[in-house]
Amino acid sequence: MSTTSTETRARSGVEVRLEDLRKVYSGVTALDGLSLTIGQGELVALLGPSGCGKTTAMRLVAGLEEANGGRVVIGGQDVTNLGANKREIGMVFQAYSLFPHMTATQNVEFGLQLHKVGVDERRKRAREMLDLVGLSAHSNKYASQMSGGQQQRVALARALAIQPTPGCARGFATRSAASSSRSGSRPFSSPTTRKRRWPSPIALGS
Amino acid sequence: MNSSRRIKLQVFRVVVFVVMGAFFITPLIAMFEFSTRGNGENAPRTLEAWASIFKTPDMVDAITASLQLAAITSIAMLILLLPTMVWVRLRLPRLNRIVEFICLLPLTVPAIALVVGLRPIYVWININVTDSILALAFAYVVLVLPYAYRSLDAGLAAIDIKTLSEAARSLGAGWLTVMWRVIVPNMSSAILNACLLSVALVLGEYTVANLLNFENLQVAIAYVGLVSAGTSVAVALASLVFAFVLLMVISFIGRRRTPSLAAAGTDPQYLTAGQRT
Repeated sequence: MSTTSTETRARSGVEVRLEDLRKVYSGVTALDGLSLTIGQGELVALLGPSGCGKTTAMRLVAGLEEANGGRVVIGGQDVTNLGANKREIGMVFQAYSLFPHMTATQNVEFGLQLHKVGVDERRKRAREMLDLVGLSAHSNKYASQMSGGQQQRVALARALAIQPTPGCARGFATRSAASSSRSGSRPFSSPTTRKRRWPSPIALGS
Repeated sequence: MNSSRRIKLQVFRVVVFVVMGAFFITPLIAMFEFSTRGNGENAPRTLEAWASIFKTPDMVDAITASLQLAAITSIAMLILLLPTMVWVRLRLPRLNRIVEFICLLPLTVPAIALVVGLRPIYVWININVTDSILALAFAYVVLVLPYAYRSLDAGLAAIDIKTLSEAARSLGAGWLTVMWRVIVPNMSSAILNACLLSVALVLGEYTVANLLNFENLQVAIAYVGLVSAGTSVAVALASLVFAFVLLMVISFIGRRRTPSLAAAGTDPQYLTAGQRT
């Protein structure tokens, strides 16, 4: 697995393909044959009324739900039966999901640590990512000491951090994350940074 | 709030504190008084009963056995219960009621009835596996289930375990990592509480050990009490004070680990290092 993931991650952007995805929650059909191809570096927004399956689709891509039918193909690799921890999908959750016992820096470093990134590299990367979301001043704060929007930005930094090279990441952000980023006074350091660093593809939904 | 009301409230608090304090401490003082009495009418105070704790060979063995049992029971309970509860909450929420029912069941079964059921099992264990007193840990894990369950349940309810574990999973964590590095640190005080309740219960357990012919701390205290009342009271008081000190230590550790109270300015490098150990 490690070889494959390194190969996949080394590419600059990957294609995400959903093929005839089906998901049924105890009698309720949440997804009924969703097919969607997101090209390399493409920015896609999933829109629709509440309960139409936007979150379900993203959870299936991240591997947090098991599909009742269909396939998820990321970068040419069929990941339908792969666990969430092996998919390398950065996810920002609707609910606040920072680890309460860790500071912002430690939250961002957590994923890097699991990917066996060395201490120095980890520190550097965490600093970069927190800088990217405009929170370098809050790096030693715990979730309980930050506002909701700040917490969501740390979660975004945490999701982006596990991608080794900027620009090749596969990021997923929920709508609440996007809106909380927008509502911040200075969400990102600059638009150019955002253009350069923002991973592709990104799906925005709610 | 006006000042006279505040004074009234303050007085009320002090009164409650004094009354409750007296209620709890009076028996302890009485025990200490009794255990230091000398023989005879006007004999001077003596610590002979306390010294004789260590001169009674069975007593030392019983204390060691009870402490070992307390540790084994706590660890076994955690290994058994914590992953089960987390798994049920995350993956099989429909089983939640059933697990709760099973865990609370030992509370409704009197110890005497439990022993009747355990007896044949222990006869078999004594012959085929081990005749060590530590085998009692099997029974004690069952006995502490209700208390440990309640404590861990409260701890799990306090954190959004589903989102946290999903976040950790999507960052590349396997289930062991999720358990050890995300869930356990966030419910450390609940875990410590569950352990404390287990320790307290095991140190105070008499019925099961006695009826299964094992000599644990309480059984030994009862035996010594037949010969020397002073020594048995001294041991009882010592075990109470021990449990009390343990409670203080555990609640201190639990409070120190709460992130909101940790200094925000602390160097994160030290914190990371501390968490890794």
